Amino acid sequence: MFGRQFWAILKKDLLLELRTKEMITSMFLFIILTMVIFNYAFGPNVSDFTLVAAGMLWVAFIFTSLLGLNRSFVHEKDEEVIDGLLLCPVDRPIIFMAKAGGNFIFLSLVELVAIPVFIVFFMPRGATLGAGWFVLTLLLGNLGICGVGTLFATISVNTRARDLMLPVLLLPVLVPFVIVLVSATNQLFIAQKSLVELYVWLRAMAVYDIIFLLVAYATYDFVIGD
Amino acid sequence: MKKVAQLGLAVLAALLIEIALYGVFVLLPILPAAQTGFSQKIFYFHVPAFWTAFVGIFVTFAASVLFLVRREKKYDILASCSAELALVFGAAGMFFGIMWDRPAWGVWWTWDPRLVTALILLLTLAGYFVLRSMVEDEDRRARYAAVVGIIAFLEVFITWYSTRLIENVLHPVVFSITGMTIEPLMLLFLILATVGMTLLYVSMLVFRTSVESLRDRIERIKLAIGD
Repeated sequence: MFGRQFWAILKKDLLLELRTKEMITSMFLFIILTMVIFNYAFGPNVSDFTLVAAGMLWVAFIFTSLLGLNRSFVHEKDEEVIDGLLLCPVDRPIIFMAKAGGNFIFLSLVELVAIPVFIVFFMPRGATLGAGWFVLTLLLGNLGICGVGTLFATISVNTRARDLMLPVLLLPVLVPFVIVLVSATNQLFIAQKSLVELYVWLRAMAVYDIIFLLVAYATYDFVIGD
Repeated sequence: MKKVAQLGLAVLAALLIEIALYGVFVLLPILPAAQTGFSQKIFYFHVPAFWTAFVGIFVTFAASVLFLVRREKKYDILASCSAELALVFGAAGMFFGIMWDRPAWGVWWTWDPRLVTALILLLTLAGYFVLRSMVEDEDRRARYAAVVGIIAFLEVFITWYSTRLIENVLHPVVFSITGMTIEPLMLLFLILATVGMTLLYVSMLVFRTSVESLRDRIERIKLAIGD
């Protein structure tokens, strides 16, 4: 039962995106443009990005996720899909899981295309990326961003300021998460990796993911609908 | 009777803060320069201001949870008034802190866990009020604000934890309030200032919530008589 309802809502979002491709395209272009701007923001004389690569990566991903999170609810609101969803005999938390799942998939897809570009542009020299660890870091990061992001996107789309509200609410909450995200990614980029340290950061990310997914899951009922 | 109690609370708070001011500036000796000298006196108001801000955010958290469970308007009023005061006391604490940083640490600002946590707390509270002003529907505004109020409280611990973690892993604690042994008399005035400021918060909270409740009642009456 749970699986079927979850899949039905998720499939709706995936199909919509597959037919229009508007969200993925704009998110991808946004990421590439951000990277180009970063290159010049640090000045033309910087050729070794080791110290800033992890930070750049996550700033680009988080700003891109803001675009996607907003878009994912603008449709629902403008086309009054959300009313239809609320009329369905579906538990509200399942709507949350499906929407967060959709956002997670879109963000991951955009990252999948953007990371090769990032590697070409900025990959620190001599960095040996542990692919498995890198993917794990990305997945844990996306989960944290999309969990609390979906909750706040639902709130902000229902306010007068609409999409302007999301960064004001979401970014302060993401600051501590960015600290651990960037620290973990940094471990992957530097030459002398310490698995013990990486483990500390990944564990902190997992804790953050769990706390905020639980809070979002528990409070979503109060946020969606009337 | 209620009015007398309200006034009494405010007077008591003012009195305690006066005593603390007198004690700190007249009775307590000025510490040697190594222990940051005269500027150290900011400590007696900086710490209580932040303590009060945290009390405020905790009250907001508790009232937000109660609102979501019971759906009574009074909890929403309590949560928003307490968040307002937390923002004011937090900003005051931050201001005192920045004044003290310069003579104590030689810089106006440093990314120390305590400072980052306080800054994030203030930013989250600011977001809380932007959100409140952006939702017209009363019930919806209260629900959204309650969710953000709950997250703001958790946020304090998570930010603290993350910044501590980065400090423990990357480098040892650079700044600390060491070398300042707290003597009994200093502790006494610190406690007096803290209790005074907490009472000030409580009495302001009582006044603010009663004003907001009255405003709410007027709105309801206006609505009932068709404006």
